[in-house]
Amino acid sequence: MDAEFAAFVAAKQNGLLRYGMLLTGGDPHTSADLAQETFLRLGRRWRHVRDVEHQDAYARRTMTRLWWTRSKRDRREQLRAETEERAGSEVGPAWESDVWAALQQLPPRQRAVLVLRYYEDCSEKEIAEVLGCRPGTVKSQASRGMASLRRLLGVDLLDGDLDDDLDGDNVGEVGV
Amino acid sequence: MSELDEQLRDFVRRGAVPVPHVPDLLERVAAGQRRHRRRQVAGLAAAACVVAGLGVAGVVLRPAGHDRVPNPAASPACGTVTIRATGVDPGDPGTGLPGGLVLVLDGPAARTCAIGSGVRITVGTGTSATTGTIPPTFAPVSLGVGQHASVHASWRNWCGEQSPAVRIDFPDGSATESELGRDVPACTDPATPSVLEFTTAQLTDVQGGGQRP
Repeated sequence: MDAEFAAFVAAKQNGLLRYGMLLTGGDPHTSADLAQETFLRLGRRWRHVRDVEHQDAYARRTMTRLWWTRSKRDRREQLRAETEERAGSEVGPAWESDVWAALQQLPPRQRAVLVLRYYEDCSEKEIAEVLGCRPGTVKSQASRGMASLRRLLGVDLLDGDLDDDLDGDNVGEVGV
Repeated sequence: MSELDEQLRDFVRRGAVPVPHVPDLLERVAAGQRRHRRRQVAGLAAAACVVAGLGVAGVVLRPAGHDRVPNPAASPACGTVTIRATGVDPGDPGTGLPGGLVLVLDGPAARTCAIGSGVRITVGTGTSATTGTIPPTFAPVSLGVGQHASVHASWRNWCGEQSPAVRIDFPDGSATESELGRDVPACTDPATPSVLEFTTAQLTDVQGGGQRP
């Protein structure tokens, strides 16, 4: 392994594992698998990646794309899990963190869109480009995800309108 | 920006999300890279094998003689013999003198062609055709490369088409054909078939002459 790439993996693995936990809704094994696969993808293109200005964001987007692809592949199982989660959510468990617990309750694709949106401040169009899907898909997934979050967190529907927010531009960059 | 948006942004960036402890992630990535390289090498090797296999199969399965320079030794010896010229003696029905047919052959291109038993001469086509075959008793004439030979036959009572075709079939399966002129034996008895009988064959010198059909 290239020494420079090994240093990159060592430096970024925690941040990427945490991001994987966000995407997977707290699944440590899938998160580790995603991080590994993400680093492998980056390693194959290391000559290009090492010259990328925002390597953290590049890595997160790669991981989100992998998760999106995996969630599409396993959609049947996810739809079944979604039904089970909705049934369970009516019980109202005691969560250590309301937002984290609510995020964990979302279906994978909705969670991926929201995580990318709020982590990277991506616009709807940018998210669609990262995930390789139509903006309409991003819009519907985000809208449903936000509606579920409001319901789970008991937030008034008048609190905000995600569709308007999603039309905004990318406004920031955060380290992994 | 709603309060929920702020909460979400703050949480995903800085929230208390448990991070799994994966101490061997670096080793796993390195192992994955090694596996990937092995698969790449194996894939390239497999592709090379397929290409090489297709090449070998193409050579092995290629039809013999297809798209190749013909092997003279494998082709019929008389395959390139041609009728250079023809001559017909109509005969004299009044005296009963039969007509005659002479065919001048150009020799083969590669191997000696035997003009002997089994060589068949046919004049005309269809029901009016007549055939004469060289008998086994005739000593074969070896027609070598660049040589010429004349084949003689008696021929009488032709009631078929004018300017009929003449054809020589060799025992090796090859044949050569030409067209005769208007000079053909007279039709003396339409009810009786024309008679063509081989008389002789011999090597001959040809100086560019001879009657072209």
